[in-house]
Amino acid sequence: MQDKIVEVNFGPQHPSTHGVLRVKVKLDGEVIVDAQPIIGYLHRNAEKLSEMGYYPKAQIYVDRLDYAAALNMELGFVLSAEKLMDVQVPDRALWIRMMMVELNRIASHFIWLGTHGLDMGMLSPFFYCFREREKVFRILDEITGSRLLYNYFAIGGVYSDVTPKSLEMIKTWLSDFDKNLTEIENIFKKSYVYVARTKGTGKLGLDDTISYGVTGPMLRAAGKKWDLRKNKPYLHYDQINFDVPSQQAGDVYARMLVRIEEMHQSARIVAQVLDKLPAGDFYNKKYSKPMLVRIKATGESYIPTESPKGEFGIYLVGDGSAIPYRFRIRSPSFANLSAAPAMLIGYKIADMTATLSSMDPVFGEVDR
Amino acid sequence: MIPVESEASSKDGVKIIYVAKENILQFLKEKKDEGFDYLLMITGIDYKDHLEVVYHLLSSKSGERLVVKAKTDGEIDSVTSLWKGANWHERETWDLLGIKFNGHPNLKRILLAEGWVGHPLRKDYPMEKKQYVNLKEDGYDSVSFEKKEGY
Amino acid sequence: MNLFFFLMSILYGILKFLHIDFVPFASHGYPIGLWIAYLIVAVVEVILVFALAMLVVVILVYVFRKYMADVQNRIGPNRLGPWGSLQLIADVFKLIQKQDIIPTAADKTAYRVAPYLVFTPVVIGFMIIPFGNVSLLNLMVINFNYTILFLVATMIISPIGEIIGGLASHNKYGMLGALRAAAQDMSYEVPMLISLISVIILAGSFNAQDIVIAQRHIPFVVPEFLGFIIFFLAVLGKQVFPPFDLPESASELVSGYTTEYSGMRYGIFYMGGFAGTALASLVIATIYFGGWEGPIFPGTIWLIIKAGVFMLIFLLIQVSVFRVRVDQFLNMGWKYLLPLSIVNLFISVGFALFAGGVF
Repeated sequence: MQDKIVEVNFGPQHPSTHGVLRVKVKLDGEVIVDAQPIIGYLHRNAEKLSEMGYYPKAQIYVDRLDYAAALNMELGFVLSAEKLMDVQVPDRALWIRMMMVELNRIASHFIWLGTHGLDMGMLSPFFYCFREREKVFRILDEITGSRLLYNYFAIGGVYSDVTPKSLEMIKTWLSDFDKNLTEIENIFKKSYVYVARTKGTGKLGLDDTISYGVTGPMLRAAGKKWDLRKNKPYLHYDQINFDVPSQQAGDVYARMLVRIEEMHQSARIVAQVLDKLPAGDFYNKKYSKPMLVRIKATGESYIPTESPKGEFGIYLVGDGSAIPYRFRIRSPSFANLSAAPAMLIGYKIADMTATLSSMDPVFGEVDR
Repeated sequence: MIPVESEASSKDGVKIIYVAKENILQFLKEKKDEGFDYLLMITGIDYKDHLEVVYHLLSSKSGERLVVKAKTDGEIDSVTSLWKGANWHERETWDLLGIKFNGHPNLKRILLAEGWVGHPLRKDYPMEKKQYVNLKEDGYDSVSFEKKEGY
Repeated sequence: MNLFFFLMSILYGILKFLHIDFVPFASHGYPIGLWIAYLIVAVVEVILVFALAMLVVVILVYVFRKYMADVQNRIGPNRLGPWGSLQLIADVFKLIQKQDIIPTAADKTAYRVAPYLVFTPVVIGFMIIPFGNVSLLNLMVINFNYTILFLVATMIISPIGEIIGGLASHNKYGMLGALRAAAQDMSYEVPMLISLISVIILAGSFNAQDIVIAQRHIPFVVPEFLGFIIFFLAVLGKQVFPPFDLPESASELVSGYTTEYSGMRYGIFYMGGFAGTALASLVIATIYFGGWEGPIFPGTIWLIIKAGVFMLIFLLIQVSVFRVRVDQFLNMGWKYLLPLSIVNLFISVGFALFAGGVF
């Protein structure tokens, strides 16, 4: 019996592992009997690097965690650092942050949707998604000056104000965003093959989801309406109307539905922020950059935020110097990926790509 | 009831509870039964004279958060029996901080290569000493201090 | 014998060959020049068919790239030649220049042979397609009574090439791809053959030319619509592109049985795949849509139009459908296509018995 089982290494160089994931799979024919994810191929030890410089310096490392949603990563850092250093942030900066984070969430989900289509064996949605993502990037480029890694949020505000031109760009983009997204989403939803392949695939029950510490869209797809933007509002999310999508099934199809609905809701949030954006400063003038480097902080803080992948936050411990003593990244993808064996064992090898991509792991963040 | 050594509060208003390291498994089990069903992360802090293990808990019903800390000299009980997700978090803490979790089913390095010398997040880790990861004949990684064909 | 007689007999042989009254090779008593003439004609025709297959592949790859780029909001090849039409030739030259990498652990002979086992049968398959009208020129290389059987026999060789390629490259992905190729071809060739048999029953002949002539009034797609659907799906299942490219699905098995192949050897696999698409379209057009039969235009143009439509349909399916999961795919073959093809066989027998005179 033993020689019937074949051991196959998926990755670290494999077209559908979204980076450098390696999964040691034991196969009985086409059925997976054991799957062990092996990570660490992109490890830079961002935590150690961040513990070596002043607080603002850590931000460039944070940027490179989840490179698909760099602003969401920055948000987790600046919120934590501001709490630790007792820095006040002007109202306008908070609203700008909210808008930018939602824009980046949409961009991140677009990458996911495109690569998910690619993993399911269809090339076309990839291009449609990247076309739409490009529009978001044009806006982010206009506001922050860069396309992927922004270094835009600062402790005490944001680095540059939004210009009327960029607001105009957002308005024109919003006007046909929902239509374009529905078009892409129909490729998935209305495809018989897609539905047949994803329904009931990669199931993770609610108990397992909680036990593994899985958060974000995967948790919502498993039947729990849990979104930190609603349950523990940070920034001004309590002043904004949006729905938290949730599904009961906990399979790949449910995750797809949740993520797509989240994109619609993010667009709704952006539209509301445009209306409510107050005038005023976009950064706290008391804290210039040379000033920030000198702030000494004690105590500890951890502000959880809802990143596109789940609960993200940075646990900061200060020792009374201007350098963080402990800088721990709560990485959602890391926890989500640890649940992979539970979702893979017993399914077919063809389901593996669907399941892995439905987890949306980004390896900058898993390996840190 | 497990005795609590001391209590504090973090800057974002979350309660911090210090527990003796022998009691950690029992204490967390109590907390889990109280409704803290989420283990968000396990991490450690190196205070040079001692190590601290930090558990971040969350109750998914009330949204309440709790930080549990335990002082240790390098060994503590594993909580993998309570949360499946603790597996990877404990492996990572072992890998980067060198805290040994007793009772862990598979306490191996997770981010660094097997055979790495030292634990990088310790404050006394020698940063200037480079280690190279090489590929062995059988396909596994090996670590050495001199540069070979690896990276 | 003198030179004049020799040349005349060659000329005579060529003329005789191009007409219908085909002289079998086994006949004795013909002058030696006739034999040489047959040899020359055969070689020329094989070269012509090979060139035709290559031409079709080149055109198909170009159209495929341009069409796919258009669907995906891209431009596609646009640098080399007018509208990028020479890109494929440049690619072939690039592939030929590449280093020929053979894995150390591979079975070298089998590894080298496999691409040709995939490509050659497809080209041989082109030889039995009747490209034109009988009364003027017999535009097919091989014409004997059982050409459809011959076609089926050649079509079954290429999966063997895929399996050998996958197993010989000593790669686990390759092995899984080879196993999938075997499973896929077993489950899809059976319904394909049964629906072919239905056509043969209706036409009353195994000869491709006779099948075309039998469709002079009504193409077989009308009485054999079910059979056509089954045949189309089965042929689609044998293609190397999505949604049924399970043996080499890029996202699961890296590249399946072609994982270890590179350079021109991979190029031959690739061209074999496209030639297979072209052949499949030609076969469908021939046996279900009347082949070269059609008014006004010469027969060859009709065949190209009919086959071209099917090539476009294949391309359309390729860019717009997700990959099917392997077990669902095999289920479809065994649970639906096979019983349906048997039902269709009985329907055809009924047609042949009670309405035989119509066709």
